[in-house]
Amino acid sequence: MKNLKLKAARAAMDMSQDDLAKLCGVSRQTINAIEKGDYNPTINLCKAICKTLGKTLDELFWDEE
Amino acid sequence: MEKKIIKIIAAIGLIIIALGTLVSYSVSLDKNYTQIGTDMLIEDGEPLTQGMKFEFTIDSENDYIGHIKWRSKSGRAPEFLTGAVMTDADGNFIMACTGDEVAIDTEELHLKKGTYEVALYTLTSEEAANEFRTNYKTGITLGKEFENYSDNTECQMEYFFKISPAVNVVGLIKIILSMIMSIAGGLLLSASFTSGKSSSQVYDERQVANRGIAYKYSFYTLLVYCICAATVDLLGVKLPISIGLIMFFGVMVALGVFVTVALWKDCYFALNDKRRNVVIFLSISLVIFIASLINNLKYGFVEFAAVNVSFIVLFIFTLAVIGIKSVIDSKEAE
Repeated sequence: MKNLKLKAARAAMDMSQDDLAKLCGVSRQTINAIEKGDYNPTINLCKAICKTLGKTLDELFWDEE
Repeated sequence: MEKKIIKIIAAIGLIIIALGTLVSYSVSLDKNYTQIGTDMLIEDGEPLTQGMKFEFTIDSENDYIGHIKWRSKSGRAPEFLTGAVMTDADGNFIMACTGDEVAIDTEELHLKKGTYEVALYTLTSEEAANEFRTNYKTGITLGKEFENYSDNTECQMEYFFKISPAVNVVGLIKIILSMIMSIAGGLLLSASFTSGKSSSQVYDERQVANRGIAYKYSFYTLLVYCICAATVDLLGVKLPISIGLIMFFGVMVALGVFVTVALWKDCYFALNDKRRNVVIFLSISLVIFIASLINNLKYGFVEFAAVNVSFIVLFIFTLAVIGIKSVIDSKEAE
């Protein structure tokens, strides 16, 4: 399942996948895989992304029914 | 902390193993084969021990230098030459050399592992020396005065027959370079361990997980390859390549699978790797291997050429996969 919340939050901050990846210490392909729903990140990486984008875990990674 | 200590100990262990190997190699090069005896007797002008023989065993194939010399035990230095003739276990002539108390002539020879026999001759006259030179084509330096031994009663000498490894400058440089490289490698390894950064840290968590998958595919590929190779061997099929090369190709195939899976899952390049630099490195290596292949073919070293071919195929394959993946990545819209 695609993570559109993450993609929207990143776009709102005018950041590219590469920018976010560098700030989180991962590869661009990893951010791309998370956005496409191909990869489930660990809680540590989720926290790093949330801190970088100024969002909470719920806002970016919680699926509402 | 505990892991760091273990890694440091492992690094030191590696250095010690590398140095130990090199030292043992250099010690084996320094091994001399020496025979010392005191049986060279001359009585009333006649050598009593003409053609006396002894055996010795060479432990390792190498280039050697052989020579013989003698020393008077009585303190007096009579004028004569000694000659040594070396034959292998089958009686084939290997080399001959002569020597006296001051000057010795040395003979270069290549010896294989095995037992050799040396016969000693005492050349008390110019005629005897000339005959020895004619028979064995040695570089005897004549022109010295041979004593007239008919007046002598007895004199006893010690002789020294020595086979020592030839000084191999290229080999020596290789040993020194290997030692420097092993020490530098060990130090770098220790430095990388103590800096607190392990190699896995240069890959992110997704890459580490996917590299694990790539290793798994590679392992199973090698397993299947080995089973196929064993089956072919059990069936008695004669392949035109050696078993060593068959296994080497298996490793190359497994490596190719790892590279492909890793590239496809975007975990081939580490975070601090620059893709362009890796491609340049692979391209340069490819050119070197092709040049080496052409050179090897010229001299007919087919076995090494075959190894190069496998590297060339792997590098071309890797570059092709990188190219295809780059095209796919560029089409991916963000």
